[in-house]
Amino acid sequence: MAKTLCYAYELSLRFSLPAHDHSYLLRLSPPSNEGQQVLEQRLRLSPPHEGWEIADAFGNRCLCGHIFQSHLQFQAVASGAVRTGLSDGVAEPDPMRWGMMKSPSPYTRPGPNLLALSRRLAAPCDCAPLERAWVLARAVHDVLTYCPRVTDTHTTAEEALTLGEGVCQDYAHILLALCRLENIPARYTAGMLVGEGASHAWVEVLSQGRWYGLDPTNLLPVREQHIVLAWGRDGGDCPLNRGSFLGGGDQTQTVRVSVHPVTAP
Amino acid sequence: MKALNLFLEDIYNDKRIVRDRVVPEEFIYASSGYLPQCEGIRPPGGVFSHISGIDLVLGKDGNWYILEDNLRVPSGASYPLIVRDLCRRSSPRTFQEFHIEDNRNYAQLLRHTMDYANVGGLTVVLTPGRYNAAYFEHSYLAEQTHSPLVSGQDLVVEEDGVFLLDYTGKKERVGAVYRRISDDFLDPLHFRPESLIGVPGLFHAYRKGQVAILNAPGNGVADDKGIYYFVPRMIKYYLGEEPILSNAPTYLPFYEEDMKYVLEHLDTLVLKDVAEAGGYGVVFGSKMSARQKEDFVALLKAEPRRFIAQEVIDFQDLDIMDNGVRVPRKADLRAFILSAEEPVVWKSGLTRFSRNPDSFIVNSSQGGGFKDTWVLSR
Repeated sequence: MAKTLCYAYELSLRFSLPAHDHSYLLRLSPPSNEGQQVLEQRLRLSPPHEGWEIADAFGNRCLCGHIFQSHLQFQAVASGAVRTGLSDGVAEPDPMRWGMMKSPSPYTRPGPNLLALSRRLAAPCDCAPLERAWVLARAVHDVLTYCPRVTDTHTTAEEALTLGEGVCQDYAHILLALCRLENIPARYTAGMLVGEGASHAWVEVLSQGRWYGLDPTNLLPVREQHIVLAWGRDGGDCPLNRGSFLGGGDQTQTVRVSVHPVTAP
Repeated sequence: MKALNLFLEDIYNDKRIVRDRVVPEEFIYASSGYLPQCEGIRPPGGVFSHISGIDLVLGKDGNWYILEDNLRVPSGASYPLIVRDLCRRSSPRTFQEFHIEDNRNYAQLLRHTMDYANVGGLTVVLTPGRYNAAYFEHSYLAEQTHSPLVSGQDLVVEEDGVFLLDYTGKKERVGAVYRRISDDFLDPLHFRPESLIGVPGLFHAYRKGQVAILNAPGNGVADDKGIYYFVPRMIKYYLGEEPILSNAPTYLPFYEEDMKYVLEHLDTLVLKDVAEAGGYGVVFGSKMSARQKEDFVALLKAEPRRFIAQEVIDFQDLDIMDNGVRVPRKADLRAFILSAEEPVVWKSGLTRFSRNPDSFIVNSSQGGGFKDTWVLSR
């Protein structure tokens, strides 16, 4: 069922000492495709300046910029409205291009625990990759307990599995590793989910010529509740924000995301 | 070189060689040198590896063998220039009486290669700084090619390109960067975020075609140990030619018949872990104990893609002077190839030898030395 969602992503970076020569790269512009259509979008940057848009190797829309002058705070607020749930999956015209989505990537390289889990789940299956991926997603949901602040953006799938705890990124990385061990092409997707809080991450698998989204954290198929922002082999390929600056002292970063359905008047 | 450049363009674009099943895709994407960030990039002139260092050895059978290709940031070209200069001064007659190719054209070849790649603007040499072991070479090559020597903080990336900032605040457009920084550290926005020696945004300016990077990022996928096996096939596939120089005979346990051969001839082979570099992860079958062999075979069967096996080449020794005594030592030759319109082999090269009589390790970081290399002109 298609829906219109309005969203706001607020990134704020505070410095204890002035920062300068600040370069950044933001992946906060949702793409329009078969599954979702961007109706409107705005981006506000502070200190006020002009950034510019580029596309990365995965086709993600990125905003980048460079702030020369000293500043104590950097803020980026992306907001807009997206029509979601427009189709079941997104067609892939050239699956051969995505061989990389079958190979281990830096954050999904399996260690002994992932290999053991994969062996334990092994079952003869002549079903479609999507169906098999759901079996794996349920297994990931079972072995991991949702717990914020135990892991961070540098935690690998193997480490998160060993801890038995993690957040959406860890659920996604473990599911990616399991899919790839079974030769199912799978990609990491960063985006936003209806509600208030942080950004979200899930997995898309390529099944019979289409990419389908699975949210292993909530055991939800990705449809009208999710807004896609960017994808890559794993979280390391498509961070939503990255920056580099001189000076700055200590820094505090906060991200606030809110997504709400627009009710028809 | 032509085939390797075509391979890189193909892998990051159409992937014909994978579609035609000449190279299995596992070997591409599992390679640590493959960078997905480079997908879709065709650098100016189709050249990915502008400066290539091909390591050769002369076997006792009189044949030259290619030991490995270095397509990332091969170093060492300044040493043959310096050593030749010393030899000329100490023995000018040698160069009058023998027909030895002059090697003083390296800077000119390099400058031409840089100019060919340049998309408009200055050419700069990007160094990690004076604490880097190869800083001498960075500054020497910058001086010889009349290119500014810069560090990451001297460059800034804006919407319309890359600029060199001088101390007065003046900006000048940069059209080519001969970088002596590895891919990982090149741009903290796209690769390792903690890199302080890179240039934030350089990679996306390159992606948009606003600047050339020598050598192109992502070249590691073509000089990977696992890919080495496929180079002769690439030459046939892309050029329809037979290779002139041989690789060391190599086996991929990934293929069943090669696995069988490796298991039967373990004692005569050298085994290499494709994920390791710099002499690590290399074991000689003849030096393993029975127990080690057993463990290795188990590992090999579990992860056949991880290893290659090669025949041990018995290479010719080279005489060197050790404390005034003439002694034989192992040596190899790094040939430099510069690619602009066409690849050109520099008629010189870096001959490196090991100091230790039992060692095959010629790296200068491990005590190896180097010699002047004469290419005879007749």
